Amino acid sequence: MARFTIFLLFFLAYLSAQAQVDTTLALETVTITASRFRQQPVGHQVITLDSSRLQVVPSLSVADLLSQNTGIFIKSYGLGSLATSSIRGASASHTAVIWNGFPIQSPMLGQLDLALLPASFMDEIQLQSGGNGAIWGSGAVGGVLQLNNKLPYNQGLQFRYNNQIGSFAQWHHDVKINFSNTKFASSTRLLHQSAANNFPYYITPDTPEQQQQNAGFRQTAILQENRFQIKSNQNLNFRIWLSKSQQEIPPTTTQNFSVAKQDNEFLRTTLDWQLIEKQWIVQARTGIFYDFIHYQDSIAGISSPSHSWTSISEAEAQWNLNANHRFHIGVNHSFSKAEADGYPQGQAQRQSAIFAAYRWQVSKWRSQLSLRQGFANHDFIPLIPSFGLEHDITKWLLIKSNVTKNFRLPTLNDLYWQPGGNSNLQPENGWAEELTLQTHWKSVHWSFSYSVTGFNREVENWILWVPGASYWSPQNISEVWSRGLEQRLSWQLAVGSWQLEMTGGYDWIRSTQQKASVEANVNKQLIYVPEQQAFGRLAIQFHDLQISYQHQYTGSVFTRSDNLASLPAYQLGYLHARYGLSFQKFSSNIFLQINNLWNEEYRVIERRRMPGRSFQLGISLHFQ
Amino acid sequence: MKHLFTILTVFMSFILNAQTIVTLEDINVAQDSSLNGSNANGSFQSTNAIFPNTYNAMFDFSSGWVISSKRDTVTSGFTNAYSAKAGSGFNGSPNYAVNFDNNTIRFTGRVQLEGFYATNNTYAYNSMRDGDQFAKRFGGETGNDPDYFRLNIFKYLNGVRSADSVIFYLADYRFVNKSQDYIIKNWTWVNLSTLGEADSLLFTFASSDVGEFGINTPTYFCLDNLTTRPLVTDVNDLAESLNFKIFPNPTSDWLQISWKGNENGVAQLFDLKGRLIKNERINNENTRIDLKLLLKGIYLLKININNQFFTQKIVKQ
Repeated sequence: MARFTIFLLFFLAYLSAQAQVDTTLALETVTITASRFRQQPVGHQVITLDSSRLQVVPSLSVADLLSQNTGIFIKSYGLGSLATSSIRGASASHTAVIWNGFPIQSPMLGQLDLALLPASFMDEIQLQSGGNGAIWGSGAVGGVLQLNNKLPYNQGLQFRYNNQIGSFAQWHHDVKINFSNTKFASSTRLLHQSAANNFPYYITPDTPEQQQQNAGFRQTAILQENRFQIKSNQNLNFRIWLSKSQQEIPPTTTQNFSVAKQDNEFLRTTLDWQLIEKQWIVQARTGIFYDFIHYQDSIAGISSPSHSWTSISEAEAQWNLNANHRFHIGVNHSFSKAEADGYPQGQAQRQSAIFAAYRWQVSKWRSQLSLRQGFANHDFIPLIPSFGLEHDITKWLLIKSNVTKNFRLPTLNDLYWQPGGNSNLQPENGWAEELTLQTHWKSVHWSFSYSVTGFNREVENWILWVPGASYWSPQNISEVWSRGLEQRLSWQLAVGSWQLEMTGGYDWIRSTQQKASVEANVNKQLIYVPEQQAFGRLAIQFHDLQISYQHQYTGSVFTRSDNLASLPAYQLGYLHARYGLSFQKFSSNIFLQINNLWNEEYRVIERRRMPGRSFQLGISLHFQ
Repeated sequence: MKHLFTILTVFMSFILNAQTIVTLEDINVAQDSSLNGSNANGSFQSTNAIFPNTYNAMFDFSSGWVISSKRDTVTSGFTNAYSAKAGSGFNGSPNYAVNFDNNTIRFTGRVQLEGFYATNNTYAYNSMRDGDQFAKRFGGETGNDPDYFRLNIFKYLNGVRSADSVIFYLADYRFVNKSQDYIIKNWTWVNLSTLGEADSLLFTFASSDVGEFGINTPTYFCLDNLTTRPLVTDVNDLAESLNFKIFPNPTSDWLQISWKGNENGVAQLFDLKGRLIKNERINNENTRIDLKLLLKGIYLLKININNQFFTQKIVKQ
């Protein structure tokens, strides 16, 4: 890897010697963790949630945040329990979760529990609907979720403390201390939270109230970042993120009791180096990721620990020939090893890739061509291309489009789990296309935007575990066709001391099995993919008082692949009121949030209870 | 149990149309353990029945029949899949068989079916009683769901599967009066005589709790004392020639014996360990044998009339 990086440096230095000077392009990437080629590829819809949105309620996990603020479906097993995402009708393992440029999904499952990621640990979350295998590799099929930390220089000492209490014995506090001068920056975040989640429920309206059992959640986490300016144009960034949590697994609605619980520990440590020159940016990063998951059920006599280690090294370089032509090239190598009940001796997987991109822009046109050549365990993965195009038709109308090839490698469990694991599995793969029309209008007091996106995606060799002679085994048996329309609306108004903001979205998604293991599932919607979803948010700010209301509609989902069983649609409301105070360098916020305002009785997953109306009250102190 | 086998062998030499009972006690299983087929050739054989088993050495995973002597009636979950909820084999005997998923039993020769004893394993029983992370508690959220878990038993004769099957409910929550809902806990007789002659048996499951991955209820059941009769009929057969009848069987109080003719005889009742329990003279006046004081279980009734022997298995309930 080191040798390749050096080669890359020389190669780029050679090119830059012949190139023209363009300073503005380089500067914009100063605080960016991965190249802009990858963070905001041309032709894609990327929603950015900045730090102000991430800390509205400090206890929010990334899962909660996405569920409330974006149109993606979060499959949650209950308060504090496992939560995974489904973007554009794909499954949980089709979302690439990228932390500061590193994919962090479990190599065993290909997915990640988003309930274990505190939103307050991030400075920015970017959600890209639609995959891009050429840029992010395996798993970037449904969409890409980027969790970014940003650590600017020259901010002095900053301090933040959040304390929050909530219904069902919820308690959260976190501290963030930042210090930076011109050449050094440090950020420390500590978090501890717990909740009993013992919410009341009724089996039927006429039966006595009962209480959810064994649903507690506890988490302690620390994130330390350090950034050094080695030279005026070079930065070194070191991060370490440790988390320890315990999730009790509550009984289903048809289970008398449960003593099951899952311990989860992870260590994510990364080092990245960045060199910024007038025309080029070089980045190299390496990281080690350790995950420990321990499922225990003392009644059933199950104790199932699993460990996984992943190391990822990557180098990428961006070269800006001029304002019109920019190039990007990178190499990546990752090694994963895991030990689980199904393969106690351990199994490993190696992946390498070389990727490149070319971005061309001229007046009203922008385009990006990306390519990736990957290897998995020494086997070639076919060349993965993607192409994006954007055009400003008028000042107020923008058209965006992209065509991508996407793939997902089988996970370690798919390949090696005993019994059933199938080492002959092929990667899932397929093409996706999308087209967006976006209009935006602006005046002194208001701004308005509306977009409509149509997408189409096919995935072949979709891996399903199907029954065999005596046990289940994964097969490349299915073919899934997803298509849909996404609409987004945003309107902002500022008059005097009043500010008004309205955002909303409506998604229609069909995601059907074109080929299936049994005939009855053909042309049927995938389970837990709502055909319709809508969300809206209205926020009013007057001086230091802010009141917002969010509403979320999730359409009916099927719970069986033959679509013979389903869960009803539900609507959730969230009301949030916040008041800010400031005195010299100190500022403070107090907030009250009401979740499930309308006390809707709903289920996200069959036989899993969800809480009714609940409250959260918190205070936040800042020093700057 | 070795005694029993010896006794049975001895009896077989006299018996012409008597029952064959697959007690599984001839398979050597250490106490509180099970044989999952890891050292067998895809099946176990006991008496005249072959119990197929699939063992995957690569995955150390077995399915099909397992021969068990486990007694754990408490522990929930699949780690306790090879314990009968009854706590032992039929009538306290150590060995019984546990089956996972759809499966068969082959006979070494064609037989006349009589029946077998069945119960749930602890895993399935507790899962239906309490629910687990995958399967529902029977009765559902309200307790009123008409749930069921049943076994369908088909026979094969000359390679042809019977259209009819015997249905046995391992659990039934479909009663209007919910107090009658039950999950089988004790060894319960399943009468297969309506199926007649067979070369093999096929067991399949059905449950009201079906999800994305098929039946959620753990598809196990336990079997013991599979009982058949040989097809060979002999004119000298005592039962035939004397039109011998012993009833009711199973019985709780007494046995009535009747036959054609005036001969006197002796009826001897043995337990499964071969101990003589009763020795009574029988004639046309005294044809009733009192069993009230006997423990529940299986006995062998041996009848001697003019040095012609006839043996019948008796079930005391």
